[in-house]
Amino acid sequence: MTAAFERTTTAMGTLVTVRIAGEDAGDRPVRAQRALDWFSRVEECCSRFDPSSEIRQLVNHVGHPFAASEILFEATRFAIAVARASDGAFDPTVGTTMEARGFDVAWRSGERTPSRLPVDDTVSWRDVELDEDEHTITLHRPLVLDLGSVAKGLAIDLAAAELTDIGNFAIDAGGDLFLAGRNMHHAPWAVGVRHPRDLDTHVARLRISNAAVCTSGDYERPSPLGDGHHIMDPRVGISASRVASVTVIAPRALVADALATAAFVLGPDRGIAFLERQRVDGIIISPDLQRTETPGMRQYYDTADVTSA
Amino acid sequence: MPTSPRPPIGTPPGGDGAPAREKAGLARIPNNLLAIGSAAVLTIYGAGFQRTRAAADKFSDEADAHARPSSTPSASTTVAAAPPRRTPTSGTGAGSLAPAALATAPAAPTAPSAPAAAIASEPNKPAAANITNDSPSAPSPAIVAAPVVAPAPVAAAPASAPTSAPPPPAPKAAPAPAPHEPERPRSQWHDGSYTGWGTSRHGDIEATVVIADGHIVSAQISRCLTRYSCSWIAHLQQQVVVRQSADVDFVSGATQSTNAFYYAVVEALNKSR
Repeated sequence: MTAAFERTTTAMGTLVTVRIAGEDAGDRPVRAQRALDWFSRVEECCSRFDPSSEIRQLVNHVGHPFAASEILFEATRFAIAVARASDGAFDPTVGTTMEARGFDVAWRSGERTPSRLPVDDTVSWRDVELDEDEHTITLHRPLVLDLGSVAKGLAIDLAAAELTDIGNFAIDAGGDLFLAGRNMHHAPWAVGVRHPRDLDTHVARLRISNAAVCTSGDYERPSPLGDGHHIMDPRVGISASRVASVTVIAPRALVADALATAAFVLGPDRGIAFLERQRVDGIIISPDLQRTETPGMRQYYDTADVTSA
Repeated sequence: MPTSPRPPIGTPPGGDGAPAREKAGLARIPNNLLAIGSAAVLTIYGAGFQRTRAAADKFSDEADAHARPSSTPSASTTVAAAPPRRTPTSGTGAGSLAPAALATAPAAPTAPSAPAAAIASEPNKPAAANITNDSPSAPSPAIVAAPVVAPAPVAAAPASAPTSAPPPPAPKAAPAPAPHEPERPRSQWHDGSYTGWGTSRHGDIEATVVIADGHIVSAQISRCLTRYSCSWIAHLQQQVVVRQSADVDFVSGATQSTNAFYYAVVEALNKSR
């Protein structure tokens, strides 16, 4: 049996692991590192917590087109698309609101790095204009983009693209996953879905191959100010409270990540309908532990699990 | 400029608008977000290849590097160039966008069309199965223990950090592509008890990690010098050990904030090598 190779680093405020289960061509450490490098590249562009990041530079150009890098432009383009599709349940313009709620601490240094823009609850994704031809982003009002629900998934996907030819590998970025091919037992990867209240147990055990699995939970990042958690309902400016966790399976991690966040805000019924409309699968667990899921979820359940349940 | 067939996103405020009717539009374009997302990934990946390639060429032919036409490497080929390294933040101040501008020019010609095709072939589930909302989340105890080969200890070598430098890893110093460390054997830690420190804005935390038979058997907050109680991260102590459990390969939702406790644990683990 081929032993897996695994490499872990810290990025985006969490632990990121690349595990390669495929044949060892002798270059696995290099390949894994190259994949991990994408996380720092994306973070450099998209971190709201780094005053020198590209996304923070945007703030200095309100009202004017800002020539963006591919990473920032595409990440923003996708975030806006999700905002539009979810009718604003997902909105990347919540940066200052997040800052006001205490989410302004750079994870690496522990320093507070607020933009010092005033909180304006009336800004929305409609205040962001993208120019496809010029590759520019224009903020029409002072706002801070928060790509937190996109950037990590994007980095996962880029890391996965880096490893495509290896075939059998997995990427774990703080519980957001991309599973390619098979695990060391030549089976689809076994993925537990964390129980949102009993953090040591799983609500489901899945078998996944060539897909991303991302979960947004209200337990992940409590507000430093003690009033809720990190998933905001952009429409009202407070933590979304109708959902405890959302798990989404999609071909791409940025899709799974962003749609999980959107579904979290939409709540169980509208959230599931939204996921179905986007042709992805998911499970939503409410605070009273009611479980709602898309019909397609069944194909992912580990049969061993189903028979024993 | 990408001659992309992508649907227009991010219209100007007050533009074509009508987001309230957006759902109807989505029904007609079911894979909208998947297609856009895939296009984004492939565009960036393709551009990244271009950029690293250009950077590599620069060494040999500095004058020619920028003018290089976009001879498009397939996004699926193995990237064998220098470590990807972006520079948008390394410049100073607002206007330093040279790298971005440079990158824009050859924007991944392969990307726009490829993703659409790729996504079209994505096996989209028929979603036909019966709707059976399983009984309200009886947590499946997940006992089946097909032991994973490598019980994946938390925080294997933070390899991008310079040797022996304890995390908090050197900020964004370019990680050398290949530290060329020998692949570590399964049990990368020596048995014993190790301590490490982590710093947060609230204060410092010391973690004590106990290794037995090459596995983490406990990870505890041994000293809490934060202004507040460490109780809010107490559950993390268990996570470090639990994540080694062998019943699944990975856990979705197992968010581990890289807070002071994890820094402390990683530092402790580094001492145990």
